[in-house]
Amino acid sequence: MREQLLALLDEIRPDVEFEKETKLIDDGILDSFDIISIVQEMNDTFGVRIKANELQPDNFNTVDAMIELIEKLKRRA
Amino acid sequence: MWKIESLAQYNQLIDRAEQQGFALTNCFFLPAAVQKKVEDGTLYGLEVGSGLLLLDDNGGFYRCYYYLSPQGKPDRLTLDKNAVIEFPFNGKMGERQRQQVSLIDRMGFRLGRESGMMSAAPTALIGHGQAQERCSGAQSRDAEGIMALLTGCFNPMYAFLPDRKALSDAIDQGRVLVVREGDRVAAALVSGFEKRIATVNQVAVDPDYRRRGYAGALMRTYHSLYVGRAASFRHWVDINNVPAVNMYLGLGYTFSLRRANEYIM
Repeated sequence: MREQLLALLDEIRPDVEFEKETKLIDDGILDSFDIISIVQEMNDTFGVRIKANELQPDNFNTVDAMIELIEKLKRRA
Repeated sequence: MWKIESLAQYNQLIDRAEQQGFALTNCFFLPAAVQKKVEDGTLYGLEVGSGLLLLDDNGGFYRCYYYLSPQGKPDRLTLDKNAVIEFPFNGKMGERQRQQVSLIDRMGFRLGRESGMMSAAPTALIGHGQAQERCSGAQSRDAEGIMALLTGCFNPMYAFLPDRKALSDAIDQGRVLVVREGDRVAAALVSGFEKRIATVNQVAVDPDYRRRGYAGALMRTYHSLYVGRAASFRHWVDINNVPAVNMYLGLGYTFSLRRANEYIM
């Protein structure tokens, strides 16, 4: 899952070293457009549905946080 | 149509829309953005037949966000103001995107503008680091002239124009550049700088003063303002505005994959 997620993120923002960053949203590295793209790709790739109230910075600040979110959603499905 | 009075009400609406299978959406607000719109009293909800619309009242028009069913047949809309739907996508129109555009069309919107994002690293900029002689920082006395210039040059449904207060703040913060011809503002550039990203919000030249290189001069001066601090320079451009695109390409910008179509009614 990690490799799939990193490939997806790299396609959206090839200029970002995702594994090194710890504040992707808080530091403004990812903006609202990136969030739209990432959420849509995560939904399609992992068969999950990210809800509006899950669009919290904490869920997208790191790769680990995104993986945690996907795993939580898969358990819920 | 009803006003959304709280973040809790907003969350309930969205939860219900998602439970009803309204899976196609262009709405990805972070909670802080929703909270501000609710506090400003600008956010409304509207059911459209197998879908939900959120309307953000911008004064003269609504900015619309939708939750729609892929199998739905939303109603053709009749609104009391003009409206715009911003539809972002990453480089390519796939099946999911085409589905949404069909539904947007069904509601009565038509394509207004196609925008693309251009960006440049500081090292890619051409002719940066040199403030241009004709350009200077805007003063508060320029505000009225700048507002007139911006509203004359841009459609507010596409351009996210600043209101008077936002423009005043931008001038005070040194983010607005002008070229003056006598007492007249002949050209203006409104910039932004947040979290190491420098942006051009608007650059406009009075039609009486075009073809004098003022836009390029403003851009070079803007670059000199931020080149020591910004990790990236970005802006959105109408991809069919060929003179503007050529100017940006000549300054070292390239197109990213980001696109945003604006559908209007």
